[in-house]
Amino acid sequence: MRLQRALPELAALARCVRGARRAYGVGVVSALRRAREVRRDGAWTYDEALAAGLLDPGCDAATRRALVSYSVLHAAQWRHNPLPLEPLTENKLVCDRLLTASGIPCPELFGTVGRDGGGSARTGAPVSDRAAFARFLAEDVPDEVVIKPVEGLYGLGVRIVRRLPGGRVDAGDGPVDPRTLYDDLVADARFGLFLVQERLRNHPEVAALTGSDTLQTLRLCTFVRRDGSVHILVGLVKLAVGTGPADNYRSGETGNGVADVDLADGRLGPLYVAAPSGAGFAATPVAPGTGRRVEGVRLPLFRESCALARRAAPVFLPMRTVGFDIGLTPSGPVVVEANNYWGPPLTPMPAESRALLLAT
Amino acid sequence: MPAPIRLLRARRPGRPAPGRPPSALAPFTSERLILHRLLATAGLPVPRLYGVIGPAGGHSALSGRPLPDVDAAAAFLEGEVPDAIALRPSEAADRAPARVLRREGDAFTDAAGVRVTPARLALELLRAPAALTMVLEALAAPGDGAPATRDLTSVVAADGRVTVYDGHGRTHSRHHRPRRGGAVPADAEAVALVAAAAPRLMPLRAVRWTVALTPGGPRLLEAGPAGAGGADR
Repeated sequence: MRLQRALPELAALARCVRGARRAYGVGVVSALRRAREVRRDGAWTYDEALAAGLLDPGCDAATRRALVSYSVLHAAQWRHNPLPLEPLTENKLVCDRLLTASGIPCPELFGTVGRDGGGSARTGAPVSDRAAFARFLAEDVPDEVVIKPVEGLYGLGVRIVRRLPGGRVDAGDGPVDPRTLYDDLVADARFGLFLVQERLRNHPEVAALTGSDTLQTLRLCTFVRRDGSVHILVGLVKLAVGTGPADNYRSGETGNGVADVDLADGRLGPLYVAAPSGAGFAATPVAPGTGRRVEGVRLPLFRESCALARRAAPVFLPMRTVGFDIGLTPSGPVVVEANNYWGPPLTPMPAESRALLLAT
Repeated sequence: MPAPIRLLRARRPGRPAPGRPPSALAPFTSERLILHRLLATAGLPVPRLYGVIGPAGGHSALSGRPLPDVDAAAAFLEGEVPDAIALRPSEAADRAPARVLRREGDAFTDAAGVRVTPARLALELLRAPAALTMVLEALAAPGDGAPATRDLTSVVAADGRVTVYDGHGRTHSRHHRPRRGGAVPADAEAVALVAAAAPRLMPLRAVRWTVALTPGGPRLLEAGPAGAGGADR
């Protein structure tokens, strides 16, 4: 049994050392020592440490200590957020109903569809077969909608669906019959139910950052203090500089980038994109490909977004820490998603935030 | 043929039985706190939630403060909740009846006359096997006992219409008129309430409800998927 546990760990260590040698040209012993150190001191997995750039000889000890690994962050989230209430945020249908009923702006829900069932919000009728889905898409939704899994994560399974003349739709792979799209949705082995919701548009100043029409969201992570007041722990913006219908970073796999947001004034830091080697990330003041300036730009609607996150956080109590993805749209900020297990930021958290979150 | 039977017979291979909640819909009914919040935020009558206490976390719904430890939970029980409360585990699989406590002096007393101080109760709830215990309004009933309850089942038809069945399989339309059988054994207001609540749990189409009949009107207590694997599983 011990060997069974040790083998994957050794394989990950070997991958990590090989990656560090390739990316930074460091020696085996030095890479090994550093990898063991971050594993022991910060509970980083080897793959995670490599992706976070902790094997970079230029990453000093103070920075390494200030960063938070997934396991340390998740331990804090488990402490502050009751496990049985996970669906309040992780089930997007439950989350949508809570936000809507609490008067928090969120994308309009037109209905649900999938192997688990479905229904139209407009008529209240079930959408449980091919004909009902075709009718639903033709009559109950606008020309363009987002279809995403109720229990999705990392932007997986998200489709933007456009209605075409002649009763067909485009779900990203060219024109198809809506009944074929229904077959695809109910055959999805990963997700049993999908939301059909409003497609939000970027505020013009956000769209100008990358030129992408993918919705790019502001992530604000909140913490409810003992006195009931809401503290914003960290802020970052996810910029769609990769391909795909969502802005998720997913450890750099999507090609998208993230930039820190100064919580005092909404000014953006440099844009971080995953390094091509898979070791660490590259910081750039401009969006790759377009050359548009990111660093130093002030986000629109930042104060309004912070106020919205502060208003939304108590809706999820007794969960105390939630990461809100806020769409900055021409008509104002909108909560697109709430996350129980928000991921660690790429840069050190502000000291007060770290102390609040990691306090036992 | 009653609609739940028709739904069960119409089941196609590879599709979940209508009575069994598919995974994405399970949280609607598997946690009472989530169900309570879905119904309460929709403006439907449910027992008032004062707060939640448990080893997994907690908060006061009255002050909006978290209740992460025994001091905070004891202060909540001592100073925030009214004189009569009902405790219920949040997990719906826990079928234990609500524990009703009434304040007498500086302690709470249960139906068996056992006294417990707020600090002791807080400690007990924070060490309870239930991850979360809901602290709710104790529902009033004529006399000293618990209010009567009705079990009703709602089914949403293909055209979106809601049909409500009572415990005897008799149907009631939205307007409480019995379609079969002469009598209306369930309280008409309870039938109307269930008909109004059913769309809140869509796309769960067949739901079994427990409704408390109180002097102030019916209140929704429980909901679970109807049919096989239903609320009384």
